[in-house]
Amino acid sequence: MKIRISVPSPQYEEVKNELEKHGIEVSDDAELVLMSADEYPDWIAVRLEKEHMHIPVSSIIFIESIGHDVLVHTDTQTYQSTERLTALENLLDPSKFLRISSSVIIARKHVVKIKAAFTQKFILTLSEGSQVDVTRSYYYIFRKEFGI
Amino acid sequence: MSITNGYVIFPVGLMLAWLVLILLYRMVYNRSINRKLNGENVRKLFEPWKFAVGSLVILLAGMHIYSSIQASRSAVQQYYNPDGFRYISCSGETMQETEDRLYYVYYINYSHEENEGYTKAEYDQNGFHYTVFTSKLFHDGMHPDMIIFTEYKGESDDFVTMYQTVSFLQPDEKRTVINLAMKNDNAYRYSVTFLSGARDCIVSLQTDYLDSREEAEAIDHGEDIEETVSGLKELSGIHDVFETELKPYH
Repeated sequence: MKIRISVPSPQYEEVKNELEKHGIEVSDDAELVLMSADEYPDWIAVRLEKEHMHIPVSSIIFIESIGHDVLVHTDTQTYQSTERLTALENLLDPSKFLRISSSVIIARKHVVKIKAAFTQKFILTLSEGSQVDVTRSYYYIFRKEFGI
Repeated sequence: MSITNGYVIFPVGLMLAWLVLILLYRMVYNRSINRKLNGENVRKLFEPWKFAVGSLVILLAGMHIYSSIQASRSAVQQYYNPDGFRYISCSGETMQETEDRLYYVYYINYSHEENEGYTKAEYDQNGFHYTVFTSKLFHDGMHPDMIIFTEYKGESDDFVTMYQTVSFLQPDEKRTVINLAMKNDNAYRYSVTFLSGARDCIVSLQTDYLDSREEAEAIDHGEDIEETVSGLKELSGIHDVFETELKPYH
């Protein structure tokens, strides 16, 4: 049996050891996930080409879904996520991340500029220079969350 | 004088000014939300699309109110018939005043001297001078088919009310298609009438000056337009009928 762990870093090794003691393999490409109920993880599992790794949640600028792929953009690199966008939306702390369209989640602290379009839409400029759109479906949520 | 002058340029100018206003507002709005993003305490502004719709409604209402006030002040009358016959009429103490009144109400910048797209002809009869402009343009609903500037040149000043009656007549039998009477309590010497017809017809412009308010009131209480027209003929001190062919180009 293979399981993926999504718990805060301080607990990761302890949980991993405990599971392996009981014969459960811990792997980042497993379909079953063990998550903490009351704390958001401070890292997520990603893939760079064929290599699996963990990256800190604090380094994420935005996450976008393109076709079948979910890409996690940081300041230095773009990774592929093993999770779907909706799963990531549920996994990440909503006080730090916000979904702005059916295909994009942003890290709130990395929004540096907001531009209003004439239709119910915003164009956001992020800290590393990318521009993403807040679509009409998420327009009022975005306004409420950002207080504008 | 450009045929697009006034009637098109003034409203277009207002709309361009409105667009500039919207763009400026959007700049202000973007600045405000980015100041909020940076932690400043700023007042919430209307969203740009709400501002655009609201300001457009105010602008159109303002234009309508302004035109209505100008129309009520400036003795401009108009009539639109569902069959396509219509007129706009305006009068004034001088020809310039007459032209100005039309401009500020309808943004129409026509002149008694020359109008691009129109042929000019002049006629004198019974103390009246008529300057007739006939359109060479396609009948488009935006420009009149004919413009008649009327000047009473007679010496008599002894009148208190002016009536102008416009009749559109069938060309063969001269049967009336439609008959419209316009009254002006300021009996000015100068007037201009814009005419548009749905088909070829004869335009008959009857001008009557009455020197008695009582007689004018009696006319007003007439039962129908035919009665008004025949009543005017009998009572008016100064009377003339000018007829000409109207052939809107289709």
